[in-house]
Parts: sequence; C-alpha cells; structure tokens
Amino acid sequence: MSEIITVKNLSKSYGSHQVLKDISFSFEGDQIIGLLGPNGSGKTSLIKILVGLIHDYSGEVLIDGKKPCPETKAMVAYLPEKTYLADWMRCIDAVDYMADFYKDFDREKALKMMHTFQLPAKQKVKTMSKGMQEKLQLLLVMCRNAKLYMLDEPLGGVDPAARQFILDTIMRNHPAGSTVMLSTHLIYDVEDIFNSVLMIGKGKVLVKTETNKIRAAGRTVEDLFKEVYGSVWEVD
Amino acid sequence: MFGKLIKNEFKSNLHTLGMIYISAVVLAGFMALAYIFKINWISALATALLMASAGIAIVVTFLLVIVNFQKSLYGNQGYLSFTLPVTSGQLLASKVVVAFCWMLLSFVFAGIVFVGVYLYASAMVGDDVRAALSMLKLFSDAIPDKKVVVGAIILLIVYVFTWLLFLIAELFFAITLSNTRAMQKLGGFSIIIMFFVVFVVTTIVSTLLTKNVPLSLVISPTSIDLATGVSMNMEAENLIPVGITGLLFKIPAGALLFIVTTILMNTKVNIK
Repeated sequence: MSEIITVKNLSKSYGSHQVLKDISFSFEGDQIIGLLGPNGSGKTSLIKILVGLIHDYSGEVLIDGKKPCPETKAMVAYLPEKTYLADWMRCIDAVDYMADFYKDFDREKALKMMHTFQLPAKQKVKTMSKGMQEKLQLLLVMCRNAKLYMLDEPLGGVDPAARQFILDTIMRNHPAGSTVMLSTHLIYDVEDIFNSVLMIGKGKVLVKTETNKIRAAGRTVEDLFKEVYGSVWEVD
Repeated sequence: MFGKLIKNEFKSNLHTLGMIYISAVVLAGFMALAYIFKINWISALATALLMASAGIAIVVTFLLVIVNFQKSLYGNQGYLSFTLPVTSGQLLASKVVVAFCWMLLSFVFAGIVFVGVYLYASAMVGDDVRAALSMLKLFSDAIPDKKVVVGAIILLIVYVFTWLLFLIAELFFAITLSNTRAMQKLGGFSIIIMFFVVFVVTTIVSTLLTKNVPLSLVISPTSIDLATGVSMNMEAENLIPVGITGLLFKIPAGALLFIVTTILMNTKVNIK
C-alpha cells in the first residue's frame, strides 16, 4: 500500500521558537491515526503544514506522493479547531459552498445529516451556538468522500456526550479505504479507535507505532502517553 | 473553479450592498410619487436621503472590500479559503474581480444619482429638462470628429479602470503584507501603516516619473495626439492635455503588486 502521508526532515519555527525539529515519519493509507501530544506540542502546526496552510517550513511533506497543492487539497478533508464559516452563510449556503468546490462532497447526505443533527437549513451561522457551528463543520467535513481526513482537536472542549457523538459521526461516515488523522490531547475514550499513534513533543517524534503492538505488550495508549509525557500529562 | 469563487465572492457582499441599492430604488420611488403628487417635504427628504445613499454606497463598498479581504483570507475564514482546491492566484483574482465590480458599481450608482437628482431638481423648480439635454447634445455635435469623442470616452474609462485596479492592488498588497508574521507584530494598525507606506512610495515614484517623463495625450477638436510636454498656450488653442505618465506607471506597478501579493500568500502569510 502506498504512503498517504510522508514527512521528511520537517522543521518549523515561529521566530526563535522551533516547534518542529527535523521530524520524519510516514503512514500508509486506510487507517485511523491518533496524533497525540500535550497542548503546544506542535500538532496544529504539523496539520496546518500537511493541509497546505503553512508554507514557510523546511523539509519535505507529501500527501499521496505530492507536495501540498490544489490537487492534494481536493483529496484532504480538513476540520480545524476554529469556526471557519463566513457570517453571511446559512446552513444551506455552507453545504452548497462545499458542493461547489469539492467533487467528492455528497450534498444529499449533507441534507440528511442536517436534518438528523437538527440544524435548520436557513439559520445563519452567526446566530448558531458554538455547538451547532461545530456540528455543522463536522457534517461538512464528513460528507466528503475524501482520501484523507485531518481533524484538529475535534474533541477539545466538549462534554462526554458530545465527544461520543463526534466520534460516532467520524466512525460512521469516513469511507472505506480512507485515512483519518485525528489530533487530540484527550486520550480517554478515544484510544480504541486508533490503528496507529504518533506522539510528538518538544518538536520531536517521541513515539510512532501501531496500537495493536501497544496492546500486545499488555498496555494501553493512555499508559504509554503518561509514560512519554510524564509531568506534562499531570498539568493537562 | 474560478467562476465558483467569483459567484461565492459576490454572494458574500450581496446582502449588505444589496440593501443600499434596494433602499435607493425605494427612495427614487418616493421621489417620483412626491413629484406626481406635488408633496414638497417628501420630495426634499427622499432627495437628501438618495444623495446620502450614493455617498454611503461608495464608503461602505470601500470598507467592505477591505474587511472582506482581511476576514476571508487572514481571519478564521482563511482556514476554509486556503484549503480550497484552488491556487492562491485564483483566490486573489476572484477577489480583485469582485471588488472591482462592486467599487465600479458604487461610482456608477453615485454618478447616476447625482445626474438624476440634478435633473429632478431642475424639473421640480420648473426648468425644462429636455432643453438641458439638448444643450448637452449641441455640445457633442460641436465636436467635428466623432472619433475624438469616442477616444476621450475610452481614455476616461481606461483612467477610471486603472485607478480602481491600482487602488485595489495597493489595498490587497498592504493587507497581505500586514498579515505576514513579521508585520503582525505591529498589531491592528499594521494595515493602515502598510497602506500609507505603499501609497506614499507609489505616489512619489509616479510624481517623479511625471516630472521627468511628462507624457500626455492632447485632445483637440479634431484629434488626440501624444505629446512629451505641456505648453502654457494649450488652453487658448482649445487643446486639453491629459497626463499619461502616471497611468503608464500604474499598469506595470499594479501588476507587480498583484504578483508580489500572490507570492506572499503562497509563502509568508500567517493565518491567526
């Protein structure tokens, strides 16, 4: 199977602060990858580089063998931490917007999910609660039949019920053969869905392994996380 | 994809700007009714509001172009805009086209309002509007060569289009530059500072070029000719000189600003 994500000697700095220091790794497709690390470990920067939002880095990044470009953007469904929809948009406008730009966007499925999620088609995004906006963005991402899903902290700051809802939505809607990379610093409840994990911290790759190897050693991802991050975990 | 970018770009401004133009149509309707039924106070109020709407349209369009560019590319919406399967050049071009159309519309609208209000006011005080229009036609007929009229109109259009596009190029470049990591340290005023710097630099260069290479088109009743200087007795000879050095400078300078803006979008901007 070909590599869906390839990173070679990647470094990224913000001024004098280096968040990623010469990291290299790769992942094959058709799996769910947990991108783990405490807050400020460089998870968001790494994802922003992979989706083509950050360009001023050194090293090489390939998505399905290609450098980030419009072609790779067409195959990546990205869910950022922030609300990215414009104020003028209503629910239906957001759906039409995605249908306009992404050939793999399933508009019929989106309309059904809007109904299931109880999102009124004509309600403006700016009048929605934060929870509704997050549901809408999740819907827009998961209604794509993308090759790679990059989900940046989709579970951050939500209650346990919402967390389960988000996980269910991701698990039910990502197409067979696709790859999901989900970043989180909250491992509890989530670790069972991962096939592989990438733990980063202090700008380095600390662990890259398959979860069945962790389990075969009689441990959990959470145990490994605590061991790797030590005191940082307690702060979180 | 480019067509879809333009469609959605228009949609993003349509609600705010549409309200202004719809209000203007309603006010014009009130003016017509006030004229028919001879209600002077409604006529005066609607005319004043319509004049104000023309000014508001220009100011709001200008501000909306700036705010929309900043928010949709470098605010949270940038997370969506920059992950669309399009190039930065396409993103920028779509915003330029739509900003140009809205700004041009606001100027055309203001022009129509002022001419319309002038004719309306003339009619209200009992002047013959048809006579005023006939005077304009007589003036046009007095020019022997119609090609001069056409040439002058084309020159005016080129001037307005170039000025607008250059203004947009300066604005978008300044906004983009102020969103690079180095400039973000300057805070919220960085856009104003950057625009001021770009404006001053381009004005100085344009002025120096005009002084040292004074190219102009001289409009006479029979022809439009290129001249390399302006003499004092041109007015006496019914010649109208139009300086074009600044215009010729703005075309490549504007293109350069757009190219540099695209490069910055591709390499240096930092979405917060």
